[in-house]
Amino acid sequence: MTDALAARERRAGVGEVLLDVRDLRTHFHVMDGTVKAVDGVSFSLRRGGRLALVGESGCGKSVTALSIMRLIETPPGEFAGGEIIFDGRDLLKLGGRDLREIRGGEIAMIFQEPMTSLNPVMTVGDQIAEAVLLHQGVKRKAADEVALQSLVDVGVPDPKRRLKQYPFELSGGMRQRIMIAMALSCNPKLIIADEPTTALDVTIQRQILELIKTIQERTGTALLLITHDLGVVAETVDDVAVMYAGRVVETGTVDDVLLNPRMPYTRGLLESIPSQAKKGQRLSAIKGVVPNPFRMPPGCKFEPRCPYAWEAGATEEPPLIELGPDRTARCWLYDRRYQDHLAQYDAHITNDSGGTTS
Amino acid sequence: MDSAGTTTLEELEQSPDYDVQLESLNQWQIAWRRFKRHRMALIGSVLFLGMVAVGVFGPFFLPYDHTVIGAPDAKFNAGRPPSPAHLFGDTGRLHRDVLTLVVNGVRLSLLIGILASAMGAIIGTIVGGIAGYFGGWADTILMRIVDALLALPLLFVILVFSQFLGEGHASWWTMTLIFGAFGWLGIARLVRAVMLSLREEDYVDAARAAGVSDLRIIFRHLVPNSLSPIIVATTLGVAGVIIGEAFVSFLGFGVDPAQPTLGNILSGSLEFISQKNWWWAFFPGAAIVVIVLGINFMGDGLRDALDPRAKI
Amino acid sequence: MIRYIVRRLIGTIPTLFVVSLLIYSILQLAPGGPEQRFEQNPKVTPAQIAAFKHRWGLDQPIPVQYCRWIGVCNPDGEGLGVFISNKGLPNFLPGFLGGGDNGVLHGDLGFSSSTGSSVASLIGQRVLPTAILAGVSLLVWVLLALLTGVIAAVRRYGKLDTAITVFNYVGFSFPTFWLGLMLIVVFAAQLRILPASGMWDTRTVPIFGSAEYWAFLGKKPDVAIIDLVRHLILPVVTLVFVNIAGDSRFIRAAMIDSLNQDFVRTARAKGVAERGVIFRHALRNALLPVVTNVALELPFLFAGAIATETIFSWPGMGLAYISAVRQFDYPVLMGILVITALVVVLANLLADILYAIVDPRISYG
Repeated sequence: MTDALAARERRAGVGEVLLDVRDLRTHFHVMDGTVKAVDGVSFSLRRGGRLALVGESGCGKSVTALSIMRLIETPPGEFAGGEIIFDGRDLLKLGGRDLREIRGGEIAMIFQEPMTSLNPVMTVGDQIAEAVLLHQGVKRKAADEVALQSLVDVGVPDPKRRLKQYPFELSGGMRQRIMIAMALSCNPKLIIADEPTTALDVTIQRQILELIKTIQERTGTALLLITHDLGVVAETVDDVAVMYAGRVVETGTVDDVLLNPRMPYTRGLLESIPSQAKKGQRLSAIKGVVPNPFRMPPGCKFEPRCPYAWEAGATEEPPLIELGPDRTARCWLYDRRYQDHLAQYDAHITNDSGGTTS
Repeated sequence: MDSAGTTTLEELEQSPDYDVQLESLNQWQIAWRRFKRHRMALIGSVLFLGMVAVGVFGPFFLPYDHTVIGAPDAKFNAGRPPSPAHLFGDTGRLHRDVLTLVVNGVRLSLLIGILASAMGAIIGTIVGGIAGYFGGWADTILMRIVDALLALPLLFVILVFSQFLGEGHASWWTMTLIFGAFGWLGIARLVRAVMLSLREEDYVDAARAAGVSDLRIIFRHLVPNSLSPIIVATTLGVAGVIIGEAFVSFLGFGVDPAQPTLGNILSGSLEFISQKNWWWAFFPGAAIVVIVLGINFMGDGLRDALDPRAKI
Repeated sequence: MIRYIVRRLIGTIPTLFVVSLLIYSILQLAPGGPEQRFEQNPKVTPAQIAAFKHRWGLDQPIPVQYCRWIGVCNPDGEGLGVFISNKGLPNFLPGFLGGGDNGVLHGDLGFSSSTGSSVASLIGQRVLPTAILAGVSLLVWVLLALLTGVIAAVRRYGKLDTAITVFNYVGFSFPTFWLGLMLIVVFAAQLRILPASGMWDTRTVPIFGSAEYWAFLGKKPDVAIIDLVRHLILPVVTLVFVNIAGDSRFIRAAMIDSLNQDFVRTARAKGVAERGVIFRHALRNALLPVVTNVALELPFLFAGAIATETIFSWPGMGLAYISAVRQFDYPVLMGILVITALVVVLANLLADILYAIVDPRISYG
């Protein structure tokens, strides 16, 4: 797609919802029980929009990403509920053929480990061309040209030579560029990047992030970025959804959530980031541990660790409450019945401010 | 909360989702749990142990002694087919009861198999352990020997040895020694490989730093950790020896027919096949299949159960 | 790559030497020798046995016998002159350079002590039948193993996988010779639809390998081929049934490993159809270890063929081996063993070469 076309598409469709995940539930049935890895995830992404899904390890963000493309093995996995509306269709209900057309063609994914995510015995060019051949309906020669162009687009030097190389001949950063090239080659509407920089050197991380940003801006593709690194979030996306124990617990724009976290977990996360302002002080951490997937607390999943908890959280799980347009939090604090608790919370924050978010 | 506003250990332990595993299973209990779940392994164990029981107790229940020679029978010179009197039929010419022969054969073949494999395991573990742990010259020399011996075609050596030990027919004990003498090679290589990787582990350094002698380290620390592949290899080795013995006996170079093994029973039956005596060859062979099948299933189950990499 | 091959080949020479020396020594250390054939015969006098032994050089000390057999010593030489050929130069040199013409180094494997014919020609006659039997069996079982291994891996833990696994184990547990026997009993003795033994029908087809046979093949190819196939069926089925298990399990394991790799997930994420994922991506990667495994099985094939050839009276190297053992025919034994050792070495080399060809990550300097 040329840049002009992309820009026009973006102008036309901006604001329109491309991906709408509604109460997604993905469970795994293992020997010791059922792990509800994703149990109530809802967020939406506009055409051309940029959303980050953040959370600690084990909160279910990767499973969410894989669920969107239905890359989960069922068994032992199971899509126990919810809908994934992409461009008007529920991906969970699509047949095999339709699903394959979407995979790679309309939604492309970039994985965390570039070392192992590429086929070691196929040349890089063949792997990119394979995607093109599947989705663009062109002949081999044309596919090779598209592959070459995609390498140029991601800034790979000496692309003609690289096309014929095998993954083992490339560095980690280079391989990730190849993955990005592969993802782009079919002009997808959405790119899902699952921790794309976690496995790379710090200096390369920067480059790859910049690359993703540039490409996203140029082509108008929507971006869903999965990460645990709040620093990355601030620089790359507009919106953020915070996950905990398989659920989305807070959504909003990046500025809103990072500067004014409404859910105590988010606040705790942000407070635990070391910063210059807190120099000399003890590092703060959220007390307690992430819940055992087989023994989840009956009410709010964060309640055992929440410094503001009271009985409501212990017995009943709060729904995702709307705080404003595109701003939600899964916390009883925002239920109209508990305004006095909310007042306490707000007071506490104002006392603390000066040492909170970076 | 203590004064600094953080959690103390007691508070952590008391919180409802602090997961303390009171029940901690050791490696063998975990393996047993996994083994029990393996359907094929259980079937295999039943088969194998059943045959062992037949071999151990069977001869006491048989009406005939395997040396009993039946009355000559002109009509059925090639042997009488299975009948109520002779459940597996009887042999040609001498009319010995096949069931009796097979039961005694099972006993002897199993004995040879288990003893030879066990011997091989012990020698192999010692040699492999020393080679793998010390490395250097000891390793090179020992492994060159192993490689050279492995290059020798086993069949040839056994045939030659049987000649050596008396008129082409050995006693069952001799056969055991021969197989044991060659069975250790594979196990030695296996143990050496495991040793090479294990000795880089931290606990070895810790033991050495504490002043534990090398030999003690090998046998008290490393060997128990390498037991899994040894157990699996030894179990499967029994099957290998049984088939090997059967083959050698079948060729006529094995154990003296006076001591029936499944192999030499088969070799005796050959000439009567063309005379339609199928039972003489069928039952000993079927016995071999059952034993080996049982061992293979069991070995597969053991391998899965003892695999340190698999999660519960 | 060529340099690597040459280096490897040169490196095998010392190994072959050592192995042949070991085998030779063991043979000689055991009591008995070619003259054993005459032990039972009351008509043969001790003097005749002594003459026999002298004629075959069996009265020489073992090192000398080995030396002659290898071709470093001249059988006509005496004392230290033993190392010099009749042409006056070191004996181990090739004939055209002035060396001797005896021994393995010169391609002379001696003569059979039981039949008198040259060992080399005997082996030459027997190689083709064994190659046909082994080759056809290998081809069939590898193809079947690929099929069953892939199916079992893709349908892991399902009914098909269990069935294939059980089938493999059962096959693996059958002693080759017993299976062959039972097949003969059923198909040849009882049902009479297949021949019980041999490689060709002696009543209608000339001796395999002879000039008449090739003429016959040219004139009536369909009859010859059908006859060969009819004789091949039972031995091949025997070999395939027993040997398929190892490769099938191995392929299954390799496929499962391959299917669990990240790049398979990437392929699916690209929209590749399941069939493409299995064959173009997973199998292609799983083939690497499989190829080497199959190459390394070649030597065992010969061992397995011994039992089969014995049962089916297939005139191959295995059968020759057994007869040689029975008749204490040392020259033939040594000849076959040396050829076998050579095959082992070449098979190992082939495995390494194939590995380098199939896996682009590997290259030999």
